[in-house]
Amino acid sequence: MERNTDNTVDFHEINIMIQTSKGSSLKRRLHIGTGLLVAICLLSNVIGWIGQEVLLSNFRSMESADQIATSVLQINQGALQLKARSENYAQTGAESQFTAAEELQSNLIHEIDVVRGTVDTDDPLHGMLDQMHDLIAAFGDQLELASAERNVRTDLLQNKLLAQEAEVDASLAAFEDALGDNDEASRALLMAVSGYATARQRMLRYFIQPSSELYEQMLDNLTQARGEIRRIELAENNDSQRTAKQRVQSALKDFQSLGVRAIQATRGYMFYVNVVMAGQISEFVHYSNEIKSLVDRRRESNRVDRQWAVTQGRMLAIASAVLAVLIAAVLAFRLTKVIFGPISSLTKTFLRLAEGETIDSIPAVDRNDEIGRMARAAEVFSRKNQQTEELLERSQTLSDELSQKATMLEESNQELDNFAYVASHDLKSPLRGLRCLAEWVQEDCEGLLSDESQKHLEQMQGRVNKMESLLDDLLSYSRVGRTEQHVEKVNVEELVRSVIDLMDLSSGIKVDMQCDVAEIETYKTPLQQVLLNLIANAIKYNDKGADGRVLVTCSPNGGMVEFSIIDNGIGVAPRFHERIFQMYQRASSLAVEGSGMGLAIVKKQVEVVGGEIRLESTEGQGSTFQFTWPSRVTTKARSASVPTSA
Amino acid sequence: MKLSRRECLQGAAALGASFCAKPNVGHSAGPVIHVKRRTTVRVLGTHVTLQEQIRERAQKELGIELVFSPGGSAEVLHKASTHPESFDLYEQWSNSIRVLWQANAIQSIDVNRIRYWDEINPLTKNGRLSPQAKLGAGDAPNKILYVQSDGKLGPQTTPNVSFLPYVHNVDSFGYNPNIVPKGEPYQTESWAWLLDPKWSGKVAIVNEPTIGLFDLALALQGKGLMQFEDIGSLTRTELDKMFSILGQYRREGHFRGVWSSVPRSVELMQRGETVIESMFSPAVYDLNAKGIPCIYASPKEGYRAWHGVMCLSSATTGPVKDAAYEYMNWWLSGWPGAFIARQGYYISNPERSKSELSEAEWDYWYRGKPAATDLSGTSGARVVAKGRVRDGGSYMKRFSNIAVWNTVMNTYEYSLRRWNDFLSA
Repeated sequence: MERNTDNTVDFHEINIMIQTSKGSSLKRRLHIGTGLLVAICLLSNVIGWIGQEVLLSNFRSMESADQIATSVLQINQGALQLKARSENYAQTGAESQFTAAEELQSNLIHEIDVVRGTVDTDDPLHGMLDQMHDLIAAFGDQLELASAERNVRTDLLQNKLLAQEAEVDASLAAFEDALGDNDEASRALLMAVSGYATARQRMLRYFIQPSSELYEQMLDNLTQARGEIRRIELAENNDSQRTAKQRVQSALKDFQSLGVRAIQATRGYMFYVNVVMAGQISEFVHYSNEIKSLVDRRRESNRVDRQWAVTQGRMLAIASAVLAVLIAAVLAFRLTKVIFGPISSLTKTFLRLAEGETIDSIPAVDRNDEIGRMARAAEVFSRKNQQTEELLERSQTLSDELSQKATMLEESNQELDNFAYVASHDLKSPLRGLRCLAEWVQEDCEGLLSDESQKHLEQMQGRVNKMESLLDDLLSYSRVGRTEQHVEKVNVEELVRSVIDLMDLSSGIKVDMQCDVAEIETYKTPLQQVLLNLIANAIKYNDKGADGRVLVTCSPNGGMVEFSIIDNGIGVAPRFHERIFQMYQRASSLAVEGSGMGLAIVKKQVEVVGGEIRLESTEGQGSTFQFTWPSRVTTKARSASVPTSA
Repeated sequence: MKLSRRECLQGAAALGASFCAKPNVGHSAGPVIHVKRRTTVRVLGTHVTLQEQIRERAQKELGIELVFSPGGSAEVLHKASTHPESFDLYEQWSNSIRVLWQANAIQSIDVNRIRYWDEINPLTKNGRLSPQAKLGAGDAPNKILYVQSDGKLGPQTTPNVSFLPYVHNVDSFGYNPNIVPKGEPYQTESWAWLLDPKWSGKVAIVNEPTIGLFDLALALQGKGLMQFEDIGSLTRTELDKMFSILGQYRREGHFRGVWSSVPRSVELMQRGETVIESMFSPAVYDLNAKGIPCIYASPKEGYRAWHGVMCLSSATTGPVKDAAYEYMNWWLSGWPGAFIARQGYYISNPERSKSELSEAEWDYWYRGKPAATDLSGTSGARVVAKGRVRDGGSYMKRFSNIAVWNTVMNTYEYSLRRWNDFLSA
């Protein structure tokens, strides 16, 4: 009971151990480990996905860059064509070149707008396109202005100046006619004509090969011509001469003005073409080339990026795989170290504990997880083993003490048996002397004694006999197991029959036998005494007279023979079932003589050979005595005592 | 009631523009005032002087309508020389005067109608500020100022001039000291830096042969690659040799390109496309105001000087011409000179602008002294940090070191072709 209570406490303790320390449980570590492995798998997938996205992005970027590059190449080509067309126009003044240049300019603006729309505003390319757009837009205006200037110049040269030249020529001719025979005036007019002709010649030369010197000289020649005209003296009151002179002066003045404007238009046109337009062209060509160069660099960069992305993807894949393997290895190592190593140690520990060892140092007992709890459980088992060991030691001690006491008891019983034997044996002799003395007194004093003394003497004789009988029974009881017996083959049926034959069946009681056992090896005399006592009791305590029945059965039961003596006698009340097997105890109310030692002797005889005896009985309904007897008794069996009649 | 134009303008500000803009005939209770339509003066020029603040100030003070048409140097010169009817006043550089005069695009200006003519300093009238100053090659302003009796322009004093002397300055090149090591003014800073291979691909030149050509000529001379007999009047041979060398530089990618306006020159350096380039003074201060360091070099070879010219269109007459004269007089009245001083330009009668400048400004801009305080430019942004000294020093020192004036040479037409060759190289 105490042991069970202890175990309950221990399991409770173990349960507490298991339920505590959930914070860093092995399960959690396993979950974390598994989670890490899953995370590695996910990470690998994510890396793969990112790698693919990067590659796709690079491809898209490359595709976009290619599209932009193609557009930029077209813009670059357009810019170069615009430059060529514009320069051609500047050289030739051909209207077709101008129209083509204008068309190119317009297309370029459109193309730049389109490309600009596909580029982020914070992209340097956008800024460059802005610059180029503004420059080409401004160039368009310049182109138109240049065209206008060229038209002005052309108009001046081809129309107004020619018309004015004709006017000058006509006015000079009219003036010459008006002057008539005035030689001095004619000479002056000739000088003026010469100056004008030189001026016109230099002007024409200027238009062929512009030079400031020619311009200056042309102005000087005209100034000279106008001076000569101014100095011509006219005849008084000659209105025709005055009118003609005024016409020449006006014509020369207008010619000079137109000439200067034509030259200035030429200069301006030259400036426009050689400086303004050329500068603008150089700027937008610069940006065009810069843009082309930038796009080329980007294409190359994209190519390198793509290559790098592929390499990077591979490296990432390899790195993630290596990382996964490393983490898995670390996890395995850690798990081995954290779980399997301690579990192996604990297994060994449990095996040792199973063998009953006690272990002072349980491995992993300090851990705060399931293994720690297992270790602490092992610690409990270890303590249990220790307690068991202590209990065994204590039990051994008690056993030894019990054995010692059994020995002492046996010795004491032996001494009591010896005492009983000695007492009964030794008392028999003086008792026999008393009986003899009483017989002698009876014989000697018969008739001398009063009736009362005679009665007393008879009573004394009766009591001596009683005493002698008691002593015989006691002697018989004490002799059970003392007498040296020999094992012999016994025919059970014959033995039972011989016992029955000894019985006094005068009352008419009927004794039957059913025996299924042939032969056994045993001490014959004790078995005979047991059967004799039990059958005699069955007959003795039968109140049915001629209706009395006794049945003796014997049957094999394992290594034993089971005997039953069944009667329909007075029976024994259950309260006496134990008592009747005790010495000097009787349960029957019948006036049957007996010392009360018979069944005690029977019980001792049966138990001495290793059998058992029991009673089944109800008062008034008969009794059944059953006892077992070994089929083959061991040599150590003691000799049975000779039973005496009760 | 007589109401002056300016009074009317001031009244309009208080009572509503419609009061002066047109007769309010619908309101019988109020006075009916007939005001002449404001005279409009069209001014063609560059961003240097055609600035909105100037226009607004002049309109307010003169009561005239000013229409500014700023553009690139070449563009406006071309427009002015061929279309005199398209403008009333032309503001540009002295190198455009011969072209405009010969083209009869401008008319002479009567100095008697110039209120402060006597205050014009000797630089314009004589070509140098002091007798000791170096006389620059090329067309010094005095050589093209006066209209001679033969109708040509020359140095002989006459009451008729081809332009109103006003804004002038010396130019050189600007460089980013974060990249180009800072030099010593007049000692180590040299035009030759423009051809330094270290700055290959980061050099820009102003796209104007009468200006940029001299920058390049000074650079070639400074680098010792060429020597010119008269750098103010280059011969064809010299131009051939010069552009042969420059073409090689161009082909090798030494030049980033050319610029045609001040904002563009600022943009080039701001974007980092250039680290050294021909530059005008406002661009330097604009860059500094934007936080981009830029030093205006003081080359040891001397500056390329220029003189602003304000010309009267040959087509302008009548009230517009009167208004144009008023505008010219306004320019010499003090405030405009102070205004452009804050951009680094000088005015031909600086003393009248002195009162419009703080002492610190006057000391920094004209006297070459360290700035006593931070100085703001015309936009209000700080353009000069306290303690800084103007690159090149005082007005006198800078204009005593002139190598060449912007000039239209006799080889002008030829130079245009060679310039195109250079740009196309």
